[in-house]
Amino acid sequence: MLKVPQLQPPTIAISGSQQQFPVRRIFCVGPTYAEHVREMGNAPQRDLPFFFTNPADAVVSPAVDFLNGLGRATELANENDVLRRRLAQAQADALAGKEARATLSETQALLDLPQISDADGVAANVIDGATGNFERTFQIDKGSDAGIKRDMPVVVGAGLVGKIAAVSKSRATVLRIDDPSFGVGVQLLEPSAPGATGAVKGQVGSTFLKLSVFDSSAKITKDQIAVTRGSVGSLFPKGLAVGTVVRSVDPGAASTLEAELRTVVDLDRIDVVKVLNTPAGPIP
Amino acid sequence: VIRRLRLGLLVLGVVVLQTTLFTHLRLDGVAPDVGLVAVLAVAYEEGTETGVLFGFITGLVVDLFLATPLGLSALSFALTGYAVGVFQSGMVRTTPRLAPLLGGLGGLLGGLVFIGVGAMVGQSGFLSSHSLRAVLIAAAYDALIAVAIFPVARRAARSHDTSATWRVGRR
Repeated sequence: MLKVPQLQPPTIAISGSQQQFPVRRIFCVGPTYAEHVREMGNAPQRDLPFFFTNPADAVVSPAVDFLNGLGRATELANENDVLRRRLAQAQADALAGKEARATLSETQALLDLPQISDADGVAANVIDGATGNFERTFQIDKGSDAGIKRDMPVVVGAGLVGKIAAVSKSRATVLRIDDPSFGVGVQLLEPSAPGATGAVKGQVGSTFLKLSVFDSSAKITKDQIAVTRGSVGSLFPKGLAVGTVVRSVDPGAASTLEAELRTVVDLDRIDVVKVLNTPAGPIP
Repeated sequence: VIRRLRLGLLVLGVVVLQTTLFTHLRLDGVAPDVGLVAVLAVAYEEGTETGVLFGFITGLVVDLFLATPLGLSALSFALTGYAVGVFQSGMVRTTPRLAPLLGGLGGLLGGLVFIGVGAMVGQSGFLSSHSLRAVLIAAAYDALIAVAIFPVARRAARSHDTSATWRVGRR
């Protein structure tokens, strides 16, 4: 039989005695001075003290710690330098993140991208991939019991992922936007004016989407964003991001301009989706 | 009745395997056709009539889990079951390598029928080198799993004790 040695509790010296006091629990009260209350963002006159516990090994020996600290002075100084550098880096990262968030808000306002998080829908987990070899689908863990119906749009964030292809009571199959049988009307975004309109379809043997623009005088530029048009009769609300232009395809003698798009959402790495219960048109 | 029950359980079993286990066990992104392999085994055991019927029912159940047009697997499984039944009637003897051989060739035939009929009913993307590649890999995978699926499927389909006829040179 395996014997586990009994752990001895930490001890502290009893003043005026040679004996040690075994520490099992530490009960604390705080904050005990006004400055501490202010540090925690509270008002000293209004907030009552609170009680909490600490682990037994939180006891310290000031004298021993002081002597240890003297012995490790150089090491601690170096450690402080490292921590200061890390703090500076963290503050810089925080500032950069704040700036990025501001830029994102400005960009969203500029592009007039809808806030999908505000749209009515059902969140679902992706539980399985495609069953067959000739389709690009995945399974989600919500079905008709959760109000999901066939042809409902499926999104991740503000990006279109696909539509509901089949529903059972507790599961549903989502047809991905890169499936060759999937098609959606789109509009290219331009900074100042509505861009060209066209249709996007999945392609056989490629994860890129194929964009066809019917106006041969239109301009397609790299990194342009295509969003759903949300025209009458469409299954999809207006403004869902579909993909970004990777490259234009030489149309040859055809009057239709063509380009390949990379999906906004990485369709092979989706864990959670939202099934929109939203009719065609602008997202409310 | 018991044989039909066994075949019903076989359909259920292969569909569960197809839709759960083998969606995760893909070779280069391609899953085997477990249902088709079971159809090949049943058709080889019992001939054209049972092969067609079992193929149609199994294919129809598999179709319920696919986004491709309903009936496409049913038709391709039934046609493949018929072809294997015809092939079986001309066989004099069998070999231990029958399962992987029939699994591979039958899988290839079933896959080609699937994409051919699919293209005819409007799945234009099926006629591509990418689809052909998927059919070839699936056929190779079918040959591998046939070694495990054949004995089970043939036992489920057997209407009388013919165990001796499946040994080399005994038929």
